[in-house]
Order: sequence, then C-alpha cells, then structure tokens
Amino acid sequence: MMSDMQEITNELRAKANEVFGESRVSDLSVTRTVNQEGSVILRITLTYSSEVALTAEEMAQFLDLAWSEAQNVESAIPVVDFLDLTDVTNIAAE
Amino acid sequence: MSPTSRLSDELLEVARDRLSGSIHSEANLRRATSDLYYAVFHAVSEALVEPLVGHTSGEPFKEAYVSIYRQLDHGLAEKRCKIVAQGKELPEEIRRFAKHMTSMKEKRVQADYHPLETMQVSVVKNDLQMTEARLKSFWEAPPGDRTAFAYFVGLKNQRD
Repeated sequence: MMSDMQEITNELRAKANEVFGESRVSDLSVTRTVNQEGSVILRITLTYSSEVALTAEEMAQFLDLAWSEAQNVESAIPVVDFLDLTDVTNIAAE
Repeated sequence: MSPTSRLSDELLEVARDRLSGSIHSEANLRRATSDLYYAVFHAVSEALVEPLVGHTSGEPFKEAYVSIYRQLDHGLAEKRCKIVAQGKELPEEIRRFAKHMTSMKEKRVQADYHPLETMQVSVVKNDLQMTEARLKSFWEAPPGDRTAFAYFVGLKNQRD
C-alpha cells in the first residue's frame, strides 16, 4: 500500500509538471481515505506558485489524468485541492 | 422555468458573493463549498425535469415535476458519476461534469461535517472557477446527452 501511494504520488507529480509546467508546481501530496459511501478517495493536494493563475481547462486536464491514475489504486475517486503557495505561507505565519 | 431562473445558477452566484470580499472566514469558505456542490446537484435535478419544461401548468404535472426533480440521491449520484467518468459512452464535457460532481460531493461533506478540516481561500476559489466552467459546458452539451446523464445518475433501477 505504501509503495502504491508513493508510486501514484510520483506519477501524479509527473502529470502535474506536464500540465502546469514544472516551475509552477511546488508540491503534490496524496492521502487515502474511505468515505461514507465506502468509496476509496485519493485526496490530492497540488500546491502551485501563483505567478500565473491556473485555468479551469488546466485543472480539468489534470483531473482527467488523476482519474486515469486513480484506476490503479482500488478504483479510487480522486479529489484534487489546487492550493496557492501564498495560502501555505499565510498559514505558516499565523 | 427559464434558464435565467435556474436555482443552480443562483447557488453559483451566492458562492461567488461569499468569495468576492477580501476577508474570508472559515464559515464563509465552508458555506461557499457547500453552495458549489449544491449548484452542481441542482443542475442535475434541473436536467432531470428539462423534458417537462412547458408542461407544468396542471396539478398532476406539477406533482410529477416535483417528484422527478427530487429523485436525485447523493450516494447513488456518486456511484453513477463514477461509472460515467470511467466510461466513454457520454461526451467529454459530461464526463468532466461527473468527475467534478464527485469531487465537490466529497468536499461538501468535509465542509459541512468535519470540524478539523481547514478550508483554504485559493482551493475554494479554484473550485468556484471549475464549477463555473463545468456548469457552462453542461448546459452547452447536447440536450439528449444531458438528459441521458441526468436519468442515469438520478433515477434508481430495480437493483438499487
């Protein structure tokens, strides 16, 4: 399971770099949970540096790729949080 | 019912208003997330009754309209959206709508019920941007595909 999660994290990071460009992707993390419907959820947090805002089309493209990758992990549902690095900085300062 | 009076559009507008100021409380971000999910949820309900629009003047039709509008169930919708998302039967804009709906359902549960979740402004604003795009393409999709999706996601069959 741990190796699966590491593998999908690496795969998704590579896909994020493809879609958004390496310089805009700051971090990507994945956690696995099971929701009240019994579905496996992959909660993906993609942290990006916000010099250029993400477009809806870019986010949709990444979500498409995340769905393809999630099929390999217990047919999971991917849920993506697109997080601006500035928000992370603000949280750290609080 | 006309396109200008869609509840889904109004819920989207409410979310937009909540996110328009410079100060965003935790409660405001949670409510905006919930509004975005319900904008998507009501869009499917609206698509379910779309073939009945123009036939709601008599009492029996009003009853049928309300009954069909209220068929959508959160849990079944998630399961069926997953099937649509993984399949190829419906066009890309509908599959993307299904993917977005499952995401927002999960986020709405966290926002409404999880006390330890901390909402982030940028995440919710990006969810707003995605919801706007997905709803726009949902209403621009061929009506037949939209109805097929709404019926598949919203109506139970005998095995459910």
